[in-house]
Amino acid sequence: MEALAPPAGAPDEALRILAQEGCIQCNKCTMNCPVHRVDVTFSPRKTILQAYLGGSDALSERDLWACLTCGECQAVCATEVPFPAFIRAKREALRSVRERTAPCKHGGYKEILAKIMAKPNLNQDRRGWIGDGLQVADAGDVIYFTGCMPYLDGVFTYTDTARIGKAAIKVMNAAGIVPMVSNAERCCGHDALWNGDRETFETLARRNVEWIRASGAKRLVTTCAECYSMLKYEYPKVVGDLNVEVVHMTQLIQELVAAGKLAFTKPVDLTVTYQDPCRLGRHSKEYDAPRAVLRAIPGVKLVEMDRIRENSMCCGVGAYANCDAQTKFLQQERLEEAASKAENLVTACPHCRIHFSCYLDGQPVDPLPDLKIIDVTDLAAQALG
Amino acid sequence: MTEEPQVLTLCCNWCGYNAADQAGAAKIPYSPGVRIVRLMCTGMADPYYVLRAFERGFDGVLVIGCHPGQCHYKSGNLQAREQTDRLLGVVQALGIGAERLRMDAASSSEGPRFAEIVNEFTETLRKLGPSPLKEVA
Amino acid sequence: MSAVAREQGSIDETLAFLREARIPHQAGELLGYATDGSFLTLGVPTLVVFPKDEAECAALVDHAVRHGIALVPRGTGSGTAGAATAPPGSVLVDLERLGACDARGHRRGLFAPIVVDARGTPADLAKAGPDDELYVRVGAGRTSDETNRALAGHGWTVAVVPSSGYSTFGGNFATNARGSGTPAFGPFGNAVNRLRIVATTREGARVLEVTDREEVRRLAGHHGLCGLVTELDVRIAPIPKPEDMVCALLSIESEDAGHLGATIGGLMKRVAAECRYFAGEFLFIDEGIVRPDDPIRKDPVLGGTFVLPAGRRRMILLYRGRKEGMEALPRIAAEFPEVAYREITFPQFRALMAVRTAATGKALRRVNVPGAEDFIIYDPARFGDVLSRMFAAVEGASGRPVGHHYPDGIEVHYRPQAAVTRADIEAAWAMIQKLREAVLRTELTVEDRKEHGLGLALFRDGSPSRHEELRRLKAEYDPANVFCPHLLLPEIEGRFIGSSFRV
Repeated sequence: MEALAPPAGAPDEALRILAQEGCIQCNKCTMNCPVHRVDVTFSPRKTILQAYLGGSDALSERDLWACLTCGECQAVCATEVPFPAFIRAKREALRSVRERTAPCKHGGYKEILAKIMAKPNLNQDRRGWIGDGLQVADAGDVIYFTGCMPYLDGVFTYTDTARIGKAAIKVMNAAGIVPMVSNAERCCGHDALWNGDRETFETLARRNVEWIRASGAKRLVTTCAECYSMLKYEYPKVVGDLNVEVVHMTQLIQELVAAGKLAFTKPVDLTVTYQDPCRLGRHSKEYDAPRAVLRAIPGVKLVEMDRIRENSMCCGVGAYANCDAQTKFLQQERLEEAASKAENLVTACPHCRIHFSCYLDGQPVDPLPDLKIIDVTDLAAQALG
Repeated sequence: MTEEPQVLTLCCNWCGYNAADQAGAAKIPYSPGVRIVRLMCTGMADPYYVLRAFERGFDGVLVIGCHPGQCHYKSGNLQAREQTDRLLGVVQALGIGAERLRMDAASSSEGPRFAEIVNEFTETLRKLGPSPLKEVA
Repeated sequence: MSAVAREQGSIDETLAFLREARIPHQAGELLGYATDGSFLTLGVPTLVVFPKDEAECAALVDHAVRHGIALVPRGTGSGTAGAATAPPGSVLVDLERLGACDARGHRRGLFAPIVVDARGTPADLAKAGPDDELYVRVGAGRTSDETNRALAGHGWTVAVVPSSGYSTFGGNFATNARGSGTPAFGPFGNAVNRLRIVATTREGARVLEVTDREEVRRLAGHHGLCGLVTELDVRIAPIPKPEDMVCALLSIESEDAGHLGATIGGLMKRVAAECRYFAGEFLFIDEGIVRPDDPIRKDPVLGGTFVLPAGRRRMILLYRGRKEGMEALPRIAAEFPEVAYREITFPQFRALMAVRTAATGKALRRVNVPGAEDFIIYDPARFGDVLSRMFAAVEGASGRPVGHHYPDGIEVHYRPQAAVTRADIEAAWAMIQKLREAVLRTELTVEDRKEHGLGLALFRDGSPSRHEELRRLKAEYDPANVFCPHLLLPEIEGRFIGSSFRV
């Protein structure tokens, strides 16, 4: 009986990525996978063995989209098997075969936004949300890359996402920076890339890099962990050097405070705990800057959760590809953990904030103490007085 | 000869669509660029439908449901109004122009009103010219 | 009825039973369950079942006895001997959710373990003294990582922690694993005070509570042959204060592995006799042991450990223990002029432990080929001989020996590393066989202990007395013979997965 007959054909790109680092089948990935906790049949270990033995097509479409690409599996892996990269490659491969991208949640809102922003003749007005009293410019040394933030309040009614942008500009202004906010800006392409739509991602990257290079700016600041990971790590792979230094807002604040260019004068008396966003933490290895910002704000008391930094638990949704009943159990688990430590959960990615707020906006699956979800930049702005 | 503006019209099953039907039956002329998609309720006029229409090169999107208080599902039309209002900001910011998205109401017996709404909207679009997202040949 | 139809019939019945009992399971394409941590396989199981509590286990076992279905229990971790491989026709019982789920059946990553004393009475950790004999009452699907996370705030830890902290307690018990804490507490089985097991009668399932310490020890290392262990009382110990602890790094360098082994073996013999320690670890250093970009290379104290002149081998030895038990260590080290002794901090010790744990798994683009990597050398004086033979057998290969120094002997792990291709894996597998022939010799006092499980090699490597013992135990607990019946067939031989490896 030949149960394990090898399929014919050369290994595809996804399998090549997976076999780069040998999996030792120890199952540590699966034991740390948040999806596995709520759906026992989803298992990175299983998926890897399946691919080794039967080729990458043995992966079911359900498993392909169930993965949050949060990267906890890779972070704990002894051999650092790049499981999220494998999933991404597989999603890309599937798209060309079946003309299908992610089952994007929120009715495909973010997917279609990205597609529109990939169009050539676009005449955006990206500053409508800024409001009075905040200074931005058409040019300058520092670009504030707002990403999809100006568009999020079009559907996410439970978070005022533009608040993060206003806070960022307020903080920069306070340090004497008048950031450039460009109408030429496009979506960073994060969701397109992670959901297998490389074509849209690359188009967006090319259109963005064009104006970024032409701007003559020295730095580019993002308040979004996803934009940060794209511009800093993924763009250079596609379009080469951006000629600007990409920094996350928390890194900028940390630097401004250390240099004495920014002082938090107004105490913010809150007990907070910090959610490491996967794109800033595990994907970009930035764990310390947001914590440094929190420590710099007078009155803020940071109480850490048990699972932090590389072991931080995902907010439940990755690239808007997955959100279902099981997501809600994961969010309940994480928010219970947060609520046991503080009344405020601070994060450094607008999407973590959206996903958690969405959960709190609905009916929690179990009773949950009061909890506010706040962006770290917002908190910093509050401390300016 | 310039091409007629292409309009995607999202009609609810109970009012908007019947109004369109009545306009047709009564042979009231309206712009040939209008494409009608019937939804059960305008409450399900997802932002994706609207944006997808623009992405595909439509010049305008019209959402036609029941008059306030007349919704077959009580409040779907009010939800649609709220959502459309929010989307106006998005459409404007994207540079498509808020004038290209409109929500209105026509009861099942208001065939003439339906024709009036679409004709007036088409006229506005004609003045605005083609959508910036339209692929140029 | 044909055999195929009969088998299909029993699958259908089992599926119907599982649906009725609402126990999560998976049927169909189960390639991903073809092997455990071993890369040994018997094919793919017919079904995988994921019970979450004792009631589901009992219902499953009852069904299995009544319908004559073979069950293969599997936990999670580094079981590298094929003990948890399930042949076609059998049902793989994945026990990692056992006792670790909420009422909805979702595993919770955080939990608050119940603490009990030796009599099983609930105890309050906040009021406990350092010498109290305390246990955590945990589901078999819990891991020491999870438990330690919950205990850390109180300053306590699981007493015996295998290096794979993500392995399930059920699996630790089934293999009678050893690890950090073993020098003080013995193998995992010795650290268990009580357990519950779903065993069989000829008619159905029976749930047993085993409270007799001797009986618990008899069952430790049962390899899944006796039943589904559902709950255990696992010994915990206070984490000593940093100021009471000492961590030491001993290092020796030479061109000759035999010389290194002989020297270190002599030193280990002295340490075993004169020191009391929690953890004793060793590893061979070569260029490939950590990646070129590993931050440990930049560590001002540890970085130099990984710089090595060509042709030289370095062996390092790590000990950790209470100061009061370790006074003799610097003196012993001083008696060996080639050995450099240095005290290090606990974080540094942990960093090196991470290297040791990953030493067999960190090479780039490589997969480990396990299956025969546990050798115990009873007489440390023979360590040099064993290592010279070992290095001769694996000449040119990219693996390296690492291991533990336990008071009763030296446990050596060697995992060859192979690129993820069929040819490379087969070559590594052949090398393992060569290695076994070279070192598994009575005159070297080496035995294959299978710290990671005895598994498919039960009959090839286990001693006749161990077979007999296991058969007797199985007859007592599993008279219906539903648990891993295939492991008791002498002709069972694991097919190495490389025979059909695709990549």
